[in-house]
Amino acid sequence: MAVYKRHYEWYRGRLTPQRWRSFVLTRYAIRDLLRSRFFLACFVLSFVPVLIFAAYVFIANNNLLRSLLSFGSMVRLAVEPKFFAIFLSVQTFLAFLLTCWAAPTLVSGDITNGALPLFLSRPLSRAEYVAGKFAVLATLLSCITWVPALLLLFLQGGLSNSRWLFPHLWMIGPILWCSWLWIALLSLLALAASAWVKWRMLAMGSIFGMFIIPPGFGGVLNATLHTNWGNLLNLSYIFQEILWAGFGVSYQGGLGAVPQSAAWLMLLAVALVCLGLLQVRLRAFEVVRG
Amino acid sequence: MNIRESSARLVSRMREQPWGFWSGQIAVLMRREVGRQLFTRRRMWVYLLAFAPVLITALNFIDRSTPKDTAALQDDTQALAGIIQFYYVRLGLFFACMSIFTWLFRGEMVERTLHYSFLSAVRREVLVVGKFLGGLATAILLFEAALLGCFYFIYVRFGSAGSAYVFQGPGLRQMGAYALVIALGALGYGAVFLGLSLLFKNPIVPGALLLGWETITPILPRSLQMLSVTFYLKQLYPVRLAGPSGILNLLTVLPEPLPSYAAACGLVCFAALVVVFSCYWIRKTEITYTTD
Repeated sequence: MAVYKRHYEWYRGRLTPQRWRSFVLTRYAIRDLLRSRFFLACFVLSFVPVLIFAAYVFIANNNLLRSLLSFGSMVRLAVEPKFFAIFLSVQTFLAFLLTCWAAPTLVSGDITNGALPLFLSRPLSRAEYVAGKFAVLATLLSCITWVPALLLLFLQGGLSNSRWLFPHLWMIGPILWCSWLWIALLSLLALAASAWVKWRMLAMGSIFGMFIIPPGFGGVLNATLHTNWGNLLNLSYIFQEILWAGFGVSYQGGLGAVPQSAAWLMLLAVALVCLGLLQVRLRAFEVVRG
Repeated sequence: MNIRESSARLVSRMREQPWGFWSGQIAVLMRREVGRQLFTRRRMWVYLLAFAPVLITALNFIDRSTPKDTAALQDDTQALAGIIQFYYVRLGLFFACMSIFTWLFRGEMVERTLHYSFLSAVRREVLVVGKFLGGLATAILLFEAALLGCFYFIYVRFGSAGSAYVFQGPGLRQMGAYALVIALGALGYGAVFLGLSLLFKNPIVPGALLLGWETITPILPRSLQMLSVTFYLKQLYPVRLAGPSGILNLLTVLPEPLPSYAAACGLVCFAALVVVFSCYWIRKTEITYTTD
């Protein structure tokens, strides 16, 4: 049957309020990501350390279980700031792996398929577009970083005596800002890579490489110029320094320390460069040369 | 049919093959691949990987150009050893080979141009060997040039002491050993990445696993160590690094030494096996651009 006449009608459903429109992108992107069975498996596996750490907290607070498991009374299972620093170190590494897998197609798909002009011709600004895509990674990475860390903190508070929680409430601060610092850094780097590299394989390689190759350059700088400033190129290392300092524990990373202010400035510079790259790349028009 | 007859048959069959024609095709493919790898904007970061340490050593040369004493010469020899053993072998060469060799076939798949090569009158095995040798020539050219640059800038600032160390001392021998390490590293990593790119749609994940594998092999049994490229390369290092600390020690530790010739032959055999496997595998390869 030939279709020769179509009637198009105005959308009569409920409109999403202006300020929440960017999260429509987030909702669809998360749905697409969770359709991938491999990603879902990785996401679920990243909760395994949470269970291990929770079991540790449980054993540390249960005398009967400790005696049944033959832990001597001399063995002290402490849940202190170092415990949370280690937990966040593990989870931020897993967050990096998840980002490597999830991020490459977030923006590149829209650019290669010419969808960006369509998005930006609607009442959605470029900043909102970036915020929507950023929220995809932020939501997923929050689920494996600060949310379980806070749950562990309150689990420990609930299982231990009532005097434990209040003196340790200050740890909510470093848990939140260290996690958000890493989430912001990873998300911006990944979005910039996704915007500039068209192919998933290359984008994934470049995100992975950004955390592996610059530390190599830093090592060469350190070796030839006999300095520690090369460590500033090691984003993972300087984040670890900030993280451990946030919990008031000295970081034994094996490399020379760099001043905290320099580490913060470096992370800020990287974030600004990523925003600049996104600003240049995300445009409502496309120039086709050829 | 006895063994003599069958071997004579095999020899006569081998003689009948058009080796000259195939070598010509391989030369053409090599030339095309070298041009494609060396002179494209996309390959800029391979140049960066190769030449960033040269720039840093040049900076050192400009910064502290006064002649130094013997202790400083030894210090810089150790620094050069660190650059090559940690940076080039573990990172620079690894990622450059990942970029160059996975792009040989997977790149053409992504760009949807592989069918032109498959439809031309070239045997697929010849295609694999030609492309592989082209990639190898590119990697060797870039990284040997970078090695030369690092070597020059490290020793030139010592003036006559530096040239005496290079030409009358162990310097030239060390440079030869490092050049061999770089060439064999490119061969080994190149073969592995070529194989991975034919096996996997996205070779980055297995590449990352390979990086982990190359790091942990010193603590594994010898039979498993022989399945890593760095096991052979470590045997050829002319300078032992003085006590890297902690986990970095894993990168230089040499659990069971091998004679140099055995290490070099071992790596060549390992690479040859992987290339032969790739030749076999590519015969079964079908192009499905829609899924790539």
